[in-house]
Amino acid sequence: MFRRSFTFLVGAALAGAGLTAAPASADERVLNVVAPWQVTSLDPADTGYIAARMGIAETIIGVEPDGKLVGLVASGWTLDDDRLTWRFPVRAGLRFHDGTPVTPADMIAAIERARASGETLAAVPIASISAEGSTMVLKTTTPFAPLPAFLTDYAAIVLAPSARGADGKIAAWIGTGPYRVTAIDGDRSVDVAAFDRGGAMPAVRRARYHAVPQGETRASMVEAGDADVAYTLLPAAVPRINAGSRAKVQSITIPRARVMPLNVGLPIFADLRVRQAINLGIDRAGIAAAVLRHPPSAATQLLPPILADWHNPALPPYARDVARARTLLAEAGWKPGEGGVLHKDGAPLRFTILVLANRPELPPMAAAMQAQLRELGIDMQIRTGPGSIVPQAQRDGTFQAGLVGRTYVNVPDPIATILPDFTRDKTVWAQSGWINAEIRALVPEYIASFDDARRAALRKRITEILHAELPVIPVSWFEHTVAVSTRVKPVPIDPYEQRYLIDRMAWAN
Amino acid sequence: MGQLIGALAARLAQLVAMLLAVVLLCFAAMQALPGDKAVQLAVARHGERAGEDGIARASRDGGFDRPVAAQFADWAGQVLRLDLGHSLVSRRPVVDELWPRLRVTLIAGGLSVLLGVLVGVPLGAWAGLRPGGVVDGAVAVAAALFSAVPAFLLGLLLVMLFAIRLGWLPAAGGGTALHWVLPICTLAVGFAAPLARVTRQAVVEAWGAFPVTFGRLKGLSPVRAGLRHGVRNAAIPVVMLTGLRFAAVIEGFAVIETLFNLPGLGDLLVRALVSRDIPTVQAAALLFGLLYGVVGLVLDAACAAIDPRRRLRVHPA
Repeated sequence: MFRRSFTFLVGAALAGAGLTAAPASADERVLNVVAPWQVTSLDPADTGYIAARMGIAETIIGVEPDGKLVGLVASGWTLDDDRLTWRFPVRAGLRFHDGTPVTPADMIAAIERARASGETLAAVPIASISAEGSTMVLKTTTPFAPLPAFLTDYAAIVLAPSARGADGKIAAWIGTGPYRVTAIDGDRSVDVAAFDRGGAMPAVRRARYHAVPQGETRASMVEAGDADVAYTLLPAAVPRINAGSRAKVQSITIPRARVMPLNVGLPIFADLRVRQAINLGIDRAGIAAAVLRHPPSAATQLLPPILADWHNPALPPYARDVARARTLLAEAGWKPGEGGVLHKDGAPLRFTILVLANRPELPPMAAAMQAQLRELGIDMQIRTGPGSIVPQAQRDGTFQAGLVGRTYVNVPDPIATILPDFTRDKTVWAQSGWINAEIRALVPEYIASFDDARRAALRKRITEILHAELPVIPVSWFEHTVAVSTRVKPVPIDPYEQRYLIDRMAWAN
Repeated sequence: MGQLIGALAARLAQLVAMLLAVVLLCFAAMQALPGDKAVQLAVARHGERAGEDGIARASRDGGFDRPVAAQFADWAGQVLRLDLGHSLVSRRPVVDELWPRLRVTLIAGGLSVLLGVLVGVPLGAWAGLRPGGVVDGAVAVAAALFSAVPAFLLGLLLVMLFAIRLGWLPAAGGGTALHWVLPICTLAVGFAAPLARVTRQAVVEAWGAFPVTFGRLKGLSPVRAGLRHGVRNAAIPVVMLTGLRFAAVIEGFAVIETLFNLPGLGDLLVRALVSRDIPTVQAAALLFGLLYGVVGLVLDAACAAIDPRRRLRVHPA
């Protein structure tokens, strides 16, 4: 009653200023989805993930929460005997939100647009793409087994020709998903309404995406009941939200990792024993419990169990072993020196770790690691900075170590991340200076192989090498935290972060 | 009349000179900022997916590999053609980026200033009319308290009370009038507190000054004497503070915008600086300079209208 009266009074005061939105009708409840990412542009290479997650646009192929690849814009795919020619038929009767039918040319345009943006799909050795009737035919120059996985890349969401502006750039999100855009308000909100695709309509008919970069503000919105579903919450906010009555937090471990990439070209890190000592010196369980407040996030290897194909249970789990770490450092010639820091040939065991400040959990994690490594006599200096701090140091040659978040499912096959991170001389976010001939041979072989048994063996060997060689030191996996209002039934969580699956959500009453 | 036109022309010339200085300083500052602009732009666009290709594209888009003089000539030419260019992050025209945010900032800032005046001036005047009284003491304590509390802390407290605890108001976001209440109140309280103190002091001084005393000796009631001879004198510092506050809110209130997820100029400017979105930063600086100049002109005119002595000082015959 108070809120309605207050709304009226304040609404009257601000109506002249044009600040009020049209009130929603009573039977059209709006699902408020809150997430950190702003709609900085409509270019799919920048923010296509928002369009995909909100169910506005679809990729040619998608991934289910269990990891199974499924056709979205394409009804499926086939591969010719030459292992080079792929066929992707357009799903029958599929139409864009503007009513126009989807054609293979639209899929081709999406791929070409994504390749031009230089993202994941640029790695696919495409010889030609053409249309044959209602089917897109894609030929590669060499066998490329993970192609369907690569076609889940959000940069290649399929949009209608009318989505392009006069300058040829994407000016609107006119896709094929279960929701169509009804309004976009700057970079802060996107309103969507269910789109009749011929089948059963989703239970949630209207939704609004709120871009709220500040974690504390997202938490406040959940606590105040302003958000129905809120993604990516600060660890410290989770107990507070759960203690209230308006929402509960669901949490799963997803295929992202917080890793410490090293410049293996530096003399101190060129010695594997030093990398191993650092790895043994980190108390992952303590960090996961105290900083992340999610003990299952402690990384025992690079890739988490949810990536069933890539997680290797045979690997010895990473664990803290200070005595073993000290032994390794002593074997490497590091001796106690001034200030409790180990020295070798007069030089201290000291390096600077670059920490991304845009992930608020990383600086306290770095502080904990600093204290833990200090016990070994390793002086790790911390330098926090914006998201560009690591790639900038990689480019200007000053990179020593970093603490970054890295996703291994830009597409549902981690090979798309392993390829640039571990087989190239120059990387942007990963290690530097690590050249491993075996990995450089195994990765292309994996990409070219269609033999499931051989692929499994290659995955096993690749993970063994990364586990032992430590060009990057995994610290924790990511916990995907989602606060769900009591107004909404428990929601499905997509560990691949491709979709929010709003069309599968339902109101609690 | 001639004097007035001359004064106006002089002020406009000052404004143009100031804008020119802003343009030059802003361009120089952006060039002097540390770091590789292409990397920063690519990360702003693509986050952790930014790769070598994205960095190369960002460098091309921003023209960062071109000589500085050529970059400046291009931008200056655009400004002269009243074209502020396109944002390097959103690729939209900078004007389209600035306008909605300027609207938010002006409305939220303007309403907060108005609310601050409506609260601060009466309270300060009440306290000043009875110095040493109960109201004066209470206003002094409240003003000191709210002047000392940082805006973000006050905002958090208001969110906790009115959004989370009572559920009366939304915590953040937009879409309805209610979403504007907490940020405006947070800003208004932060302004009302110092304004009450200034008003109180101005009233004390004006009411104790010779003109009001003389009016009372003439037989006017204290209220009539004050209204006739004290208000103008007391109004000067209040108007000045209000004008300066309004000038300050023009450039945004980034902390409050962040806390309440309010898409204002402050948030845009911070993001543009971090991402090295040079066209947006330069256009925002130009806009701020222009608005500051206009506010300064209005403030001078208002003060001159209130106090005839200022007109005489500005234009001695």
